[in-house]
Amino acid sequence: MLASSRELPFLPAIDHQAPDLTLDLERTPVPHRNAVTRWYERASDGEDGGSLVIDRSAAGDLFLRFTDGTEFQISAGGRNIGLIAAPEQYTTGDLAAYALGPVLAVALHLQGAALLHASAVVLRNRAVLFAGDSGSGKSTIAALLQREGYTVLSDDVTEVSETLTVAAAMPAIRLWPDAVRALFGDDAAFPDRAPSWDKKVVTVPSPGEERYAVAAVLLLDRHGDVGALTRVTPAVAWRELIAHAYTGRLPDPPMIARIFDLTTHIATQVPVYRFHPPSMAAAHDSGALLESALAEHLR
Amino acid sequence: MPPETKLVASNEVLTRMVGDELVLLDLARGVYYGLNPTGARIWELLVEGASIRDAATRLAEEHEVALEEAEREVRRIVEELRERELVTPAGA
Repeated sequence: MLASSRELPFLPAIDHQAPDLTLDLERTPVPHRNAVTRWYERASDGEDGGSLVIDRSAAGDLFLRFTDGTEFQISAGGRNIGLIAAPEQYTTGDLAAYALGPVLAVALHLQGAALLHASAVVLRNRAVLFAGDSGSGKSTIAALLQREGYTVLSDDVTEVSETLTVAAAMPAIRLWPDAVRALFGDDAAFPDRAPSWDKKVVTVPSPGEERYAVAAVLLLDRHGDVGALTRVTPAVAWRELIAHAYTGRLPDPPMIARIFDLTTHIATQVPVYRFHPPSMAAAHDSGALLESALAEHLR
Repeated sequence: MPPETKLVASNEVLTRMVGDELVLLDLARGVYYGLNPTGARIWELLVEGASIRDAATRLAEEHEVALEEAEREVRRIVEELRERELVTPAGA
């Protein structure tokens, strides 16, 4: 449950006594930062908003600063996110893109959530994960299956529990502009999620609090025949999964241990395949084809 | 190292079998390693308390290879593990 200081275009207004997380998008400068140390630094990789620097106070509060000067504070324990500074021209939607993307991921990490860089869709009452790097088609396959009537649990970052279940993450889905055009014909109706990310936002109906057991993980891979599924060994699966641990590089040994546990658990308990996703324009009946190909795991 | 040397795994290392491979996490450095089935078997024998010679003897029996060849393989793995400080000689 998430409470916000502003009404976000794609989140329903929430009236909740004790939210898991509060989000304050009013710019509130933090003039005095006592004894912060550099906690994490990521150089720009040309995707996902460029470089990121995280400082940590002695009390455990985190300060995240992005290339464009947008800065957030996350309280120790990850219960509160506050905006410190951002370029003046940024809209609430722009700010939400940061807050509900990488900033929320770090906050959930502080709360103890193990996150994978994957989208998740419900097939026959089970969760199927699509794991891949930025631009590999995670959001697109989720949107495609949503168009065919399937429930999307998350489109980019998925929390997987120790018991290998997934709940719905955000009731919003990010799409590359080409995907929006192919799916809906016109992208004008969709607000930009963030100027530097070149993605669009579409509202997805919230599927509620139910959790779904993970039936399979599909590693998005553009080699081989379109639509083909190739099973990989547990060792190969684990290497791919650990590479897709969303916050696996944060210097946090207890969480690194949890992510190690989770990824080895998935690799040994859940079937993992390489999957060449269909293109937006050509795809139809993708869900039915996947249900058929994965039938033995969806019973 | 004398053949009777025993080795102790670092307290900072977590291990899991994944299929037929052993994967190791060095928590102190946040680095992951993988050992193939032979490496995994050597790790298992060493952390159970086998000396280098004991481990080589077991490996030679199980794989039907000469003791010298098995010991070379055990020493090679031990060196790699020691370089990464994943194991240390017992009592060192």
